[in-house]
Amino acid sequence: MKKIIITSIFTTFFLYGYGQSGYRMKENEKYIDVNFLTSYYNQDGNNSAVEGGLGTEQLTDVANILIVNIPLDSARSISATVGADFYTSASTDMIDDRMSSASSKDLRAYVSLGYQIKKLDSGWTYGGRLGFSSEYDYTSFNGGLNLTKEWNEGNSEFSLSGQAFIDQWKLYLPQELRGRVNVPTTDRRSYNVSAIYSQVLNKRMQFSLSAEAIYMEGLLSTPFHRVFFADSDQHDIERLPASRLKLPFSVRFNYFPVDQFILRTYYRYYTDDFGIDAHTLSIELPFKVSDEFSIAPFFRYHSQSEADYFAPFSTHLSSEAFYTSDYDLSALSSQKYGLAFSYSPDFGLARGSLVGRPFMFKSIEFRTAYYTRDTGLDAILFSANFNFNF
Amino acid sequence: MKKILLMGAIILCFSSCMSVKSYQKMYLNDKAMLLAEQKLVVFETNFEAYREGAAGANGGKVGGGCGCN
Repeated sequence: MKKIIITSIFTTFFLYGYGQSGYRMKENEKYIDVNFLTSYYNQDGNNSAVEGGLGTEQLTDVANILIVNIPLDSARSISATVGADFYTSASTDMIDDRMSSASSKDLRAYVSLGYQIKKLDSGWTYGGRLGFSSEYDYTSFNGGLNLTKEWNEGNSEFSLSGQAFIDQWKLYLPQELRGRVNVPTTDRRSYNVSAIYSQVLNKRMQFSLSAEAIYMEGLLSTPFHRVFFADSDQHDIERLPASRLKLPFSVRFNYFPVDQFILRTYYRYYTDDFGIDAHTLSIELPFKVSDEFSIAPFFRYHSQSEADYFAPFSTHLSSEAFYTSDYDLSALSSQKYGLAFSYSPDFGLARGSLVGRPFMFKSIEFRTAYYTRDTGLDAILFSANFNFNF
Repeated sequence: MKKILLMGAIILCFSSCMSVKSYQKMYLNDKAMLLAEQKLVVFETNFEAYREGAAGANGGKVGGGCGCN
């Protein structure tokens, strides 16, 4: 066995060195790439965590994101992402007893700036990112680094990335519990590292393997989620451990069997120390109606076991150390299905000039998805992406 | 440990044997063949991360927002 492994490694490095001769990475495009993404999301259910696992989960969210990628030269580029979500939520409206109060709606705004440099002759890419987000009860500073190596004429790629989120809660407790309960900290920190290996199998097939570790610490519960007990008339806010380790692993496999049809597949296994194990499978079938227009039905299935600390309304015991009635942490299975449309003419939908540079409205995409969870929550989402170059 | 080494060796073998030239990558370079989520899926990944206790390994957000509604 050892001989096989050693021979494989030597063979690899011999062929790797041979294969690299004369290969050069793809240079940056010469134009600025802009994507404007927008979405409308609406959900309803009857297990609001704010009311201890009962009550409406009605939520509407309108989100917009602008992503700009600016090449500085053939190897260096900067990127900026700016986004804003505006939501109205019937469940968070129940933090206090004034219906349609300030807690019923919010704006989440965020910005992220990135820098990337490619070593075109050696196949290395380095990058970094800094970001900030803010909503009425939560602020987050985050940053990340990534490192990618491609070899074997770009047929093999390995990337490693790390991110850190330094977050702060502004404490909003349910109105009747203010002054009566407290939390140990208002900080939340999350760190994640991920490794992805991608490989071309032949002219029409490629796959990737991904492993990730996410460590979170601080206030991991939501301070305005209520929990009601079976053995007490008093209630409390949600209590969860001060740390959590999540380990997701995934594989993607994409296949282009005939000229009009593509198969995109994805599977993920997830486990964490809250006791949740999960499996997620998704499949997407892009069909090219013409060179310019494609339509893609998709389906996603997710199943998870419940967290050790979850119980429904009024079934926890007040003697327990940790408790939640948030159905996002319950045993559940969900299905999502929908359609995606893409229209991308060779010479764009519109062309002209903008501040002295050629401008092209390059493509447009639409997606619509219906999501249903066996806890009774249903959601619908419409989204669009408008892509411009100049 | 042996299993990990074996898996590493198999992966390295893949990378040394499969070589598709740049000019042969017409299908692989198609936007729909991307080995990651499409940009527009970001909204779905975001709400799934909130509505399901299991999140990660899909390019989605793993922090930086409470997801508390």
